[in-house]
Amino acid sequence: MDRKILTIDDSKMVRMIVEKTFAPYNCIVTAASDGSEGVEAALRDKPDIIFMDITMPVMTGLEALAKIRQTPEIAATPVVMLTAESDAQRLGAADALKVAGYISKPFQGDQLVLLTHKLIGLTRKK
Amino acid sequence: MSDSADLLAKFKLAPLPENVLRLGKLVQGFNKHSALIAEIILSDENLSKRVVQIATRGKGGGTKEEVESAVLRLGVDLINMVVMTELIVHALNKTFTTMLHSPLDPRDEISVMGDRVWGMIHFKGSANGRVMIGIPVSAAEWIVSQFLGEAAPEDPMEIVQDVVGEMLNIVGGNFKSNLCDAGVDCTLSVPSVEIREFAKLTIGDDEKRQTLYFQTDRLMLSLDLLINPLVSQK
Ligand SMILES: [Mg+2]
Repeated sequence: MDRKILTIDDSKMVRMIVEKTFAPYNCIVTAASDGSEGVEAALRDKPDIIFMDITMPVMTGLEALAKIRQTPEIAATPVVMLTAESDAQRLGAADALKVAGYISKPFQGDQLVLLTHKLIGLTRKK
Repeated sequence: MSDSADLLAKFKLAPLPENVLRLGKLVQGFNKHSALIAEIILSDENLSKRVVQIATRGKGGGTKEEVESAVLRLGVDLINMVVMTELIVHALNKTFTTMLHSPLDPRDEISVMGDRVWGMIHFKGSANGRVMIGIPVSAAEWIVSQFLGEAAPEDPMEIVQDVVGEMLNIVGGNFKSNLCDAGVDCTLSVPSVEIREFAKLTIGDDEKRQTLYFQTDRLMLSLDLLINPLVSQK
């Protein structure tokens, strides 16, 4: 069955890299460009995994993550932070909100695939 | 909450490189005795050389005496600039090697004709300043093709500003995280990006500016670091 992946990032480039990275696998990638849109998209699409930026307009990734954890329908969704901000304070805040992983930008597509496979399993398209 | 090293290990993130940790200590030590600053600088060969070169206009080496006298002569503001420059160059190099497999060579100058994509980001808090990056439009288009390959839009100009903005965000985010881990807390703005021939830049009275140039086999770029004196000094 297709895995559902949600990328929440204000950079179109990052959203496109995530889509391109998962194109060879059986999955559907949807995207949102800020934290608030991201929470809405998560409620609508019920993704199997979310990749979340931190620095975004309207609502930051950490605020969106807190919101997701407080929303029963999506509270248990694995969320992986994908961000350039990886100081001790941000790491601690994300850890307290039970992130499933933390990938620091600059990143490579392989890192996303490996972690996603480990967390929810991925199969290649035939 | 577990401490920073535990969290880095938990999420399998690379520990901070030795020189960044050392520079962090240096930033924290700014209000302390200049002998301590000299001692920390001395533990890094490149930093020692750079500090002495700036103080002696390229004539000195990196002996203990030379570093100590350079620290006294330059004063905290200039040393601060050297340290911040080291941190931002570290972040820029990391971004280019990881995402573009393209190490950067420092240059004394570059010659660029035509429009460039200029990105600017602000950091505010215990340290205040700006980082500006300038990339020729053709080089920015090449970066788009490297990042996105066949997925790139037919007209790369559609996404060029976003790509330069995000690169600056990554460089600025790493720089800012290093400062935070060094005890200099600050926040980062969302980047602003525009395409024009020359940068539009007004420099404040208090601001110090350092311009650096880089080249790879595929592109040239400039990076400007503008910083205000550390708040704690005032
Ligand atoms: Mg962002």
